[in-house]
Order: sequence, then C-alpha cells, then structure tokens
Amino acid sequence: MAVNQGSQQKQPHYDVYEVFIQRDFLGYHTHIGSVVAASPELAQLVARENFLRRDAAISIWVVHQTDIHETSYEDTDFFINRATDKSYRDVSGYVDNAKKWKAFKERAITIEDLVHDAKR
Amino acid sequence: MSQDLRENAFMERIERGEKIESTDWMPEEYRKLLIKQIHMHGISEVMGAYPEKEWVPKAPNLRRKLALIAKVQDEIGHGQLLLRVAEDLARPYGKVRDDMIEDVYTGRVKFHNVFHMDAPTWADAGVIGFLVDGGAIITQASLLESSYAPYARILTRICAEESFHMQHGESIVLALADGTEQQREMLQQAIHHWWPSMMFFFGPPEMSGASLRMMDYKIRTRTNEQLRQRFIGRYAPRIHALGLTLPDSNVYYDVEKDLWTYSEPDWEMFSHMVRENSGPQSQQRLQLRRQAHEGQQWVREAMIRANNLQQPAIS
Repeated sequence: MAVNQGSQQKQPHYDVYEVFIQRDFLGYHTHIGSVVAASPELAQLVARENFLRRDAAISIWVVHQTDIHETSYEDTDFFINRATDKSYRDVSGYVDNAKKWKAFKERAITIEDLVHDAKR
Repeated sequence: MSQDLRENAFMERIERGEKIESTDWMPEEYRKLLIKQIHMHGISEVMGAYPEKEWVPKAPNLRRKLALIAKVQDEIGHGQLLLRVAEDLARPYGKVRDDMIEDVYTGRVKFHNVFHMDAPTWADAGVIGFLVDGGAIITQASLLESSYAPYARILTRICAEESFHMQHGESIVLALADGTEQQREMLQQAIHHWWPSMMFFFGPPEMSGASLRMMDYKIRTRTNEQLRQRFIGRYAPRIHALGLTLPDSNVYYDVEKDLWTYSEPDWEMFSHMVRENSGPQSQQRLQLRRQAHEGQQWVREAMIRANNLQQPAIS
C-alpha cells in the first residue's frame, strides 16, 4: 500500500481510498480493495460501481489511504505472541472433557448448545 | 418529522426485525436503556476478572495458570470491547472512557452479583468457569439477536471466546470430580456456594419496568425466567451426573408444566449486595480497581505527551 505523494503529480490528481463493505446488518465491514476518486462521496460511488455490480451490500466505508496505519510485513516480531503453544486458550485444548463427561454419563456442553437454547 | 412520527417509525423498524446502528436516529429512551445495559455488562466483565485473578498466583500447575491468565485477559478485553460500544452511544452526553470506568467505584454503575462473592478454594475458581461463565454465555447468546447491531456484532466475538472459558471451567470441575474424596468435597462445597448466586444472576421472574422496555425494543428478547430455566436445564443434570448435590432440594423437572422448579434465592439480600456494593469481596475489589485506574493515570497522560512529541511540527 505504498503511497507516492511525489511533487511531480499529474493533474488532475485523485486520492486513493480503501474500501470496506458490509454485506448484512450483523456482519462486519470487510476490506475489499481500493479506488481513486476526487472526493469521499465520489469514492463511495466508484466503489459501488467497482465492487457491487452484482453482489448486494448495505453499507460502504471509504477511508483515505493515508489514514490507514499498517503494520510492516517485515516486522514478524510484532506477531511473536503466537509463537508458543496456546492450546490452553482454545476449545481444542480441552478434548478430554468429553471423554470425562462420558465416564460420568453426560455429554459436554458446547457453545452451539447454548446458542441453540437461546434461539428456542 | 415530528417526534411522535419519528418514534412510531422507529418502533416499526424494530417490529420488522431491523437492526439499529449507532449513527441511526433513535429515541432517547432506547439510547439510555442501551447505555445502562452495555455499560453494566462491560463493567461486569472487568470486575469479573477479579475473583479469578486472585487464583492466578495459586493455580495448581503451569497449564492451569496459563489458562487462568488467558481467561482474565479475555474478560478485560471483553470489557474494553463493550465499553467502546457504550461510549459511541453516550457521545451525545459527553461521556468518555474515564467516566465509564470511574462510575464503578463512585457507585453510579453496578456489576453482577456473582462478582461480589468470594472464591475461597481452587474449586471456586473452577466453578466460576463452569457455572458463572455458563450463565453468562446463556445470557449473551440470547443477546446475539439484539436489535442494536453493534452490540450483537461484538457479542458474536465475545461468545466465541467464552466457549474456551466454559471448557476451561469444566476441565477443572471434571478433574476435581474425578479426584480424591477431599477434592470432591471441595467441589461439592463450591457448587453449594455458587448455586444461590446463580439463581439470582438471571434476575427476578417478575421483571422490572426497564427490563420490560428492553423487551419492547428487542434490545433483549428473552425473559429472566426463560434464561434461568435454560441454565437449570443444562447444569442441574450435569451436577447430578457428577454424583454431587445442589443446595436446593426443590430443583426438579416438572414434566406436566415443562418447567424446572427451584427455591427462590434471597432476592433482598443479593439486591442489597449489588446496590450497596456490600458483598464479601465488593469493597476490596473496588479498591483494587480504583488503585489500578488512578495509579496509572500518569501512564495514560505520558502516552499522549509521547505521541505529541512524535508528531512532526505543522509548518
């Protein structure tokens, strides 16, 4: 996402806007690409024409590219917190629970059970 | 559009099952109910880290210690996500993060009864994950359909992380249930200790005016009693399967009524505890919260100064 703000810009110059699309009300805005446009309003319009000629969506965010602060791909140390075994933090680290419940003749409760309960 | 017409149009949106965004027009009552609910929810996540944090230094092995630290981190993280949702709503009232945090030790926001309780043994640390997180997930899962979209969206993430909490709690409970007589006795006592608090947790069967308004606005869609019934239905059979008892001999499934019966908790005692912060650990934990917030104020200020120094001077 290198930004070239050189002084020998061609005229007219359009700024780059990164585009985020929300497809349904309980979904998140997801990055889908970028456009160049003369204003935020026009960027929304261009984004609609570029990315939503077929797919439905309910909201578009356009963000001036220079307003995005990205991490560096080279700086892998930034994600070092994933380096050690984290199974103690995941459901997959507790597969023994099901076996033990079986020994007690009960089935382990899963998050899906409780969400299902809530929808009953 | 007149105020009445606007409110009617809003209610029609709610009744059609539409979702509301923070930038949409909303009646002040809807906004205030949401702030109250989400602020309380966020602060309860933060205060919910304290009973378990107390067991981090005393966890029986490294894996349990790591898991408990992970859980404490998650709870604080959930508090931050929820407070962010509440802050957007509270913007018209000029309320910011600091106000939302301070409100807990000045008594302007309450937190869940369960986090006022003490956790005297390692079994309590396990039963918190088992029963308290189980109850919290039942409540939160029912809010996934909330009419306020930013709340529902963030709860999807929170529920996904809570599923580890549930497994972590069950793992401790199962290890103790499968252990020595002494361990089973410790677990039994912890279940007796937490059960009445859990019956109170879901609120009275006869819901308050504010709770009923939240149902009208579909901020929540389940009654207190529906949630409590689901909790008992999930957990009472499991506790019995472990060969353990509940402190309430009235807990049984009434086939004819298709309902679980139970003894009412001491509503007045628990309400007083939440209202006055007068539980066994309320004051001690609030004191720690205040120390953490006030003691670190200089760090928050220093970060702003450091950022200002990094900004190139505007010519």
